[in-house]
Amino acid sequence: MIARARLPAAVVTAAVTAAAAVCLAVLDTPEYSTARLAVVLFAGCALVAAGLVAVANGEQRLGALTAAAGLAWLLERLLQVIPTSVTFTAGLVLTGMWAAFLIHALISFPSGRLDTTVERLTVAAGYLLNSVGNLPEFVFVPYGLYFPQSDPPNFLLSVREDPELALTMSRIFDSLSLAWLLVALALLGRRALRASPSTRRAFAAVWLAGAAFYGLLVTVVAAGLGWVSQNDAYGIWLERAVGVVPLVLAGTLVMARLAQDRLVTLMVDLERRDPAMDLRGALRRALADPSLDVVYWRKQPGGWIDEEGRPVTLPASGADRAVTPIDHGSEHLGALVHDPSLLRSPERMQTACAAAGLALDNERLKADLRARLDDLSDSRTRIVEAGDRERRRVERNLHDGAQQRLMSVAMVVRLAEARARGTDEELDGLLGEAASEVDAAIRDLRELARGLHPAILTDVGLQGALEALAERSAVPVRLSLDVPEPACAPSEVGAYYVVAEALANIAKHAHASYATVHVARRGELLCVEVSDDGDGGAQAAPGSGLEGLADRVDSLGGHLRLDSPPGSGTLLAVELPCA
Amino acid sequence: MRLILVDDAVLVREGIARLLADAGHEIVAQLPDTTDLLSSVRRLRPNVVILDVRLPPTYTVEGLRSALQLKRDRPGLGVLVLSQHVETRHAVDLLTAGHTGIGYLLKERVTRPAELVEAIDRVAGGGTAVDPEIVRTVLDTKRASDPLANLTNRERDVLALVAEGHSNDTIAARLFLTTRTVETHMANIFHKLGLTVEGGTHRRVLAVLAHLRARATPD
Repeated sequence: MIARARLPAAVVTAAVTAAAAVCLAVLDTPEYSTARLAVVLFAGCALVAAGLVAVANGEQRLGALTAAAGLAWLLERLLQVIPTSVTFTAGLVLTGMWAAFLIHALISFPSGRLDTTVERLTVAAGYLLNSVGNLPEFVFVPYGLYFPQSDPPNFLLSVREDPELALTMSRIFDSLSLAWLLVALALLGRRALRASPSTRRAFAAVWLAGAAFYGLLVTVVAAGLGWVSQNDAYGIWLERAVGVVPLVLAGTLVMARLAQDRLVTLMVDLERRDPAMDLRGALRRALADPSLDVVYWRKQPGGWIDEEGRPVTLPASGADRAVTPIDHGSEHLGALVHDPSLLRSPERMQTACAAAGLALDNERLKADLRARLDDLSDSRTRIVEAGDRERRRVERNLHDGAQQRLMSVAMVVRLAEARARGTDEELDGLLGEAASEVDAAIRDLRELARGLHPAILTDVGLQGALEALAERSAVPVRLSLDVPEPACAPSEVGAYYVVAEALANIAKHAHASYATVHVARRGELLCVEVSDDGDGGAQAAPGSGLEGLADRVDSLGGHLRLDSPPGSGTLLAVELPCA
Repeated sequence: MRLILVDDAVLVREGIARLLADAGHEIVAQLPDTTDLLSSVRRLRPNVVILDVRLPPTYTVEGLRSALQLKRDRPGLGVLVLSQHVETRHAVDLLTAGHTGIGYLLKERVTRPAELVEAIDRVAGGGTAVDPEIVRTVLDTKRASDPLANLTNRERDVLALVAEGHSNDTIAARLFLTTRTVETHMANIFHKLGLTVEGGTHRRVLAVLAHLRARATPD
């Protein structure tokens, strides 16, 4: 959009251009054929128009340079054919200025800013060369020879007519011009090589057109020096090429403008706050960077996470990737990881980040929640595993320690009892009582240890352990087992507890006449089904064994389903991962 | 009788040794694990080896495996396995391997020296000894259609003692019956369970246990 203050400048530029073009067209000059006049007028107008387009797209510097090139192009040609000494002199001094402007524009594309000292020096050398650089030649040129009219215009700065000196000066100027053009070409090449892939893709047309244009300029100058054969065609092609460059330039800027429009679409999309919107996809489209990623900042405990809540490490900003943080006040919301070329359009990035900030807070909360859930699930698995380990350890300690000691106490008491027998009836009786108590303690301890951890599971595996459960069940059990040996350790323990708890529940609450236990491996799942023909109506009430079971199954990454309609039995189906 | 004791728990091993010595047995070796067991058996020629089921290095069923190996190596040797596990699985594994002169007692049975000594005697004589609690577990296992439901209480008592490995005479003495009455009970029981009575006590134990366990698992 053209800013208000720019409007008069643009109008003036357009008017001056039109006037210059009209004048050049109406002046009857022998050296311009109609076709050539058309080419020259087109080139000048195209440059000015491209400049205006650039300004309209927010590239004021670039636009000014391009428009200046167009004006210089037209004025130089116009002034040189107006038959007064002042205009003739001005036209000659202007010679080549259009090239200095255009090369400045090409080197600094698209911002109009120069990055390095070498670039600045080269551009400055261009202006110097094309303003005063060719004066040493012009002051010695015998103009009468070139203009065989009755009244040739005077070059007001002429010193004297010296064709040989003029020729020497011309050669020096051409050589300097050639060197300057080659340096400028190299600078353009360097920009293209250093650009990131997406920048190169976006600006390739401008750079290629620029390089072709430089090439023609170099050829023309080299022909003037006699290094390649003299041919009028070079000049004609150059004049045609000058008109093409601004077309490419304007086209590229309009494409960039379209990218800008995509940003507007993004903002509109985000404004709608559609919860199902794919933020990353929208940003990728808006910024035309298919490699873009969105990461979120996690306040507690701090750190970056992706959309799934997984922790990520940000890449170091460099030639491959760049990171742009999205903040709200002093607080991180997230960051965009993107192609560094986007850094060249800070305004677009700013717009995108501001727009994304709205949606990001929401997305960040979601990602944070997912991360917390993962943490929670991990820690629960750890707790269950630690619990199992601890139970196994206690069971082992009971067996190796207390049980053995009690047993040896019992044996000593039995020995004492045997000694007392027949000599002291009362002592015999007391010792017998003591021995029975110790026996009871040993039995209690054995049951306790087994409740803590079923050693049989470790000894003979899931199948044997389930058979033992069925044996001791208070309700008749039909077993149907298809368990691979060895199965998968954590899920095996899980399956054991599922069956144990389910059978205990059936015995306690179901009033069932039988229970069916079905355990089988299906693919990567260990499937456990326990059903009965009892009362039904079972619920995983808080603090119940069923709830503990659900937690245990969950922590193993499995699923538990309880189907227990009142009056028609209960089905407990559990699937555990078994890779 | 010459005995070898294998148990990694020193206190218990020493205790058993004292009890058995007190009962007039000779403990020719006490071993903490099964490393030197086979060579000790060959050298010392014991009548019975008594070993814990849970032994180094795996602390799972090391004793069970050694017991079977001993029986294969020296079929005439009596082997008595002591176990903490009430689960019948291990007992059945051991008893159904086809050997005679074998026994499976719960470890806590050692606190009843009379029963332990009697079991040792039975095993040494080529008989079978099954812990009463194991037998009870098998008999108590609930089944949907239970042939045991048809037995009288007395018949159940007799069946339990058969499963423990006792002879008809012992059963008669224990239950204060005549041997003849026991034989009648046996015929009835075996008829009701659909078993045939052949061979010695070990065969009878196996027949009963196998039948009961077959009913205990897939129904």
